[in-house]
Amino acid sequence: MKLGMYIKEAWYDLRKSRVYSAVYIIGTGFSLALVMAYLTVQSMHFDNSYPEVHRDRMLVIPTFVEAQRGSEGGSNARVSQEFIDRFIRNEPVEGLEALTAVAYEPAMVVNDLGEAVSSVASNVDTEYWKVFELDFLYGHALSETSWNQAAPEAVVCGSLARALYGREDIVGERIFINDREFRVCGVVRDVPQTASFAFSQLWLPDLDGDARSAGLKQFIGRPTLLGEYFVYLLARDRSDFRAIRETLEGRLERYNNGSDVEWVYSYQTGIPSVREMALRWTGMTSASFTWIGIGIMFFILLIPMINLSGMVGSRMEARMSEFGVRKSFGAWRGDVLQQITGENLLLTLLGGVLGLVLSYLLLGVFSEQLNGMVPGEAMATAFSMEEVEAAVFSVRDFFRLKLYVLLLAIVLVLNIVSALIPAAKVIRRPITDSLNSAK
Amino acid sequence: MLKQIFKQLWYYRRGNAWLFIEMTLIAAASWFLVNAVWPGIYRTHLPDGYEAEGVYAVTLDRLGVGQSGYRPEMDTPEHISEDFHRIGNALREMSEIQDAAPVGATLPGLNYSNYNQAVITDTASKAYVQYAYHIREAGASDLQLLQYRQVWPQGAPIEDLPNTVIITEDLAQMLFPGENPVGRRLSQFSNYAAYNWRISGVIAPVKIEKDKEYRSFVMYAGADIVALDKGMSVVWIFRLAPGVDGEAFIQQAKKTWREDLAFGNWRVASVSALESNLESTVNDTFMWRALFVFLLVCILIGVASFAWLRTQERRGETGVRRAMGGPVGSIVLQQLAEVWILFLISLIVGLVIVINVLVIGKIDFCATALYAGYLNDVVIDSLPVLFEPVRHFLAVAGITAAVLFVVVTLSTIVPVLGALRESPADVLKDE
Amino acid sequence: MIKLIEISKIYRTSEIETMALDNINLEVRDGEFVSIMGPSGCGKSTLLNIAGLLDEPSSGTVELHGKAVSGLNAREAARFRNTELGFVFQSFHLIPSLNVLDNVQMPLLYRKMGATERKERAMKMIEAVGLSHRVKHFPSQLSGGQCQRVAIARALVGDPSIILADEPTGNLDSKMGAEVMELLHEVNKQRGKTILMVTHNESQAKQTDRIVRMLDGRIIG
Repeated sequence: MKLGMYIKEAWYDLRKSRVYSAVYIIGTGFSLALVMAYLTVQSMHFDNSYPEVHRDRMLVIPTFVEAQRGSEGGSNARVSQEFIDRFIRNEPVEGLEALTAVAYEPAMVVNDLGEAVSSVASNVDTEYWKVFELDFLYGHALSETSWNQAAPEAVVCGSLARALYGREDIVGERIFINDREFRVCGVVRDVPQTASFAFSQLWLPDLDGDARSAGLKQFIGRPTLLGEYFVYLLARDRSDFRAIRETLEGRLERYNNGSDVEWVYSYQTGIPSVREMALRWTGMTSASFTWIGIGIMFFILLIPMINLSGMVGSRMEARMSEFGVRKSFGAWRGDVLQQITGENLLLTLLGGVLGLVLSYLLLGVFSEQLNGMVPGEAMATAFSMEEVEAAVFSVRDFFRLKLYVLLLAIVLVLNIVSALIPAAKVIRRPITDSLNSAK
Repeated sequence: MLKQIFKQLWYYRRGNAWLFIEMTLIAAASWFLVNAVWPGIYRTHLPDGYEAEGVYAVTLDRLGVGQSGYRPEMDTPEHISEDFHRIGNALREMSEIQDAAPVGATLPGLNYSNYNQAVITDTASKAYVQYAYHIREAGASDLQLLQYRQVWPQGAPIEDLPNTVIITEDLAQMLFPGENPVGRRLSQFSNYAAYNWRISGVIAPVKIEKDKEYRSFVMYAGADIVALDKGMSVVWIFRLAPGVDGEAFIQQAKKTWREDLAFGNWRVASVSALESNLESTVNDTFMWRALFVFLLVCILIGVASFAWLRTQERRGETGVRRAMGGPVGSIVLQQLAEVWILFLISLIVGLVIVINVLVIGKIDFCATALYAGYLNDVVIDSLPVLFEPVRHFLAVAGITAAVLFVVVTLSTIVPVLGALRESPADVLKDE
Repeated sequence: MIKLIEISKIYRTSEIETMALDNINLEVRDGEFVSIMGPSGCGKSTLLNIAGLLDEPSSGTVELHGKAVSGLNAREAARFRNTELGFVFQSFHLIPSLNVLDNVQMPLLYRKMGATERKERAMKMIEAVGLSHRVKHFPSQLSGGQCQRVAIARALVGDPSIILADEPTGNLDSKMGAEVMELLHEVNKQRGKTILMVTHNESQAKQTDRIVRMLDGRIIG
């Protein structure tokens, strides 16, 4: 096979011209590492990842606006349980499979010895475990019995368990939050910070929901539908998004149009999908974010492409007589381009492998910084003043087939584009000039 | 020799084209990347106006109705103040702590949406100066703890009395240009009682956020800081004694102080280092720095491979020159000069591209980091390299050029010196 | 049959015009072994390049096997070279990164041929030139004579009807040169290939069927 012969030739050249090959591979690898690291982080944020394995069919109700009828402006907050019961739960919603409401808060967790560890907590309902799939290392999720006021239960993450009791298997141990005792019923695998909605270190049954709404009403001084909950809606399929949005927006609109309504409500940023949610404050649409990302990656690859093109061109210049011979024996344009891209393929593939390995290194060393490059943040940490010690990424997310295929495609494009100009030079040179270039 | 170099550059122009294009693109892109990073670094390295290193903050919360441990009888103003100060006493009694002081949570490092107020400076033109308002306790040791730099009074300590204010130098210059403001009222134009505060001292400008410009700062001293709390929290700050293992002490504090320092309904919510709080809000320019490093690596590889290929092509020429007694230094210099000239031309073209982009795109590259409404003219005038367009452009261009020049030089020297290790005899034999 | 009809070649730069070939007429019959001789710069190599479709004449026609080939487009000319012509160069022009087998089978890469068939044909040619014991060697590991024999094998592997050799023994000592010439004669006599050879060597030229002498771009004898 011709490609085999070109790869053989490339292998010979690689061993003979070590400097050239090293420069080529490192140059390619470095830029591919950056691209791969960025794509991996993006994938962690937007593709289905632990424990947000249903991101592709999730909608979010994040912020809610309340305004006096006829006036401009208003207050914004999250939604209340009353809103959820009245506008979502009271009637079936076509296309909706499950929904969960979460209130986040910082929590000082105290162990049996009175030692306190600060963490972030999610106050959840029983539907939570259908929307987010956490891996239980020990024990089980919260269930109906967890809401027993006399003996409530809690789920903790592995690292919180270790911080409290020096080990992960702490099912049955007591923990104290705001002087209230909980029993640990489950320990889960740590949730990475890239899980914007499910990130937490502690999961509690929502026992104080009534007190929370009462407190807010007291603060505002009147009844309100504003509250402390984020709502996550799990659709049967992405195609149900529209129906769900129309239903919920329609119900709210009918309420607002009621003649005896003084305070009207709206979804401040609509009912976004996961990706739209991440971009909502950036002013970018999903499409523009994608195009900007492509633009940045193109720029990152453009410079090495120019570099490689120049290097390959210089290399081909040195082998011009060889190409003269090949053309003498009948090599045509396509044959020349095939040869140059085929020979480069070995080096570009090696660059790709190096880039992949380097990207893991980059992800490990610069996890926080790389995470900051993609919009969105863990909801729970927005409620904590202190820095929360938690892994930014889940290592398992590094290894996705989709990313490898993308990387391979980029490598091939890089390979071909960087060979085009040198190949054109070789093709255009008259055969006799090429042959004489060795003299 | 220069003429010869130009001739050779022109002769090899097709082969040099890719490197020229690459260097031009990198020079232009680098200007923007340096401009995204350097101003923040410059601002960060301006003196903060205080010393936050080694200072820790203890934030507090109060138990409310229904919470375990709540005692309603401790909720009188007297008890609230007394219990609050008992926390401070307990801190001062710890041998690991050098000193402690109460401050409002408006201190830099604790609250970034500073309580904003404004003082009127001219009723005719309705001119206001905005400032950040901060509460403290008269006579407390926070002035020494945070090591503010005293400007006025000169040669005497500040008379730290209740109902007086300490202001920053930039505000003093706005209100009382060229005068000693100690003893004066904050504003002579207003009837509001607040503006009649007497100025007890002036300190050097203060940054609220590390990577932003100075903000006018007014510290109001009250007899009892708890009584001043108008929705702003109060905290305790402390400095550790020399030789204390800060990390271990704070780890332990986080675990135990909620119980150990429980007085009345006050509870310790968190213990944090002021410096890390300040650093955590510094704008992350990682992406720009990463891109810049990436471009530097690209140019390093590009120039190195270019230099290496050129030395390979001119092996014979180099061998002949050395055989005829040409010193190694002059051969290296010739190669360097070629690359430098190419670099210089591409830098100039790159900067021309940058100017065009800035002008056509109407890009404000001297934008303030702090909200412009908070920025005082005195501060702006004191930072010309940030705010004067020409100086700013040249400063960024200079840094870009210097960094690229170093990279380009190193990436040329290494392959050239490597090639010159071959003996002239071997080279000529092969030729 | 090679027929060059009123071939002229002029090289033009912005300042000078050089007449490399001036109205050349030449016929080489099938199976003939013809030498072209002349002093340096007389146009011998230019003549060979034009006959081999490596260069285009400024005027005139080239006919190979009765077909006018000077007007072929580049693609057709490449195909023609691949199937009908073989080249042997003074400086061998072997590809240094390929071993003997790969160098010899190189022309077959540009045909629709499977790898097995390519290898078989190349091995046959390598045996024919007596180098089967050097199949895996690289050009840097061969002597000059061996290199030229590999080049001859390469020129023959596509079974062309015409071989064009530009000073094939120019870089060889007399012993190796004689070996190469023996091989070329064998190719001519036993395989019936037409050979057009440029040479400076009078004794080698005398061994061929005919000598064409050139001077200043013209055939003088």
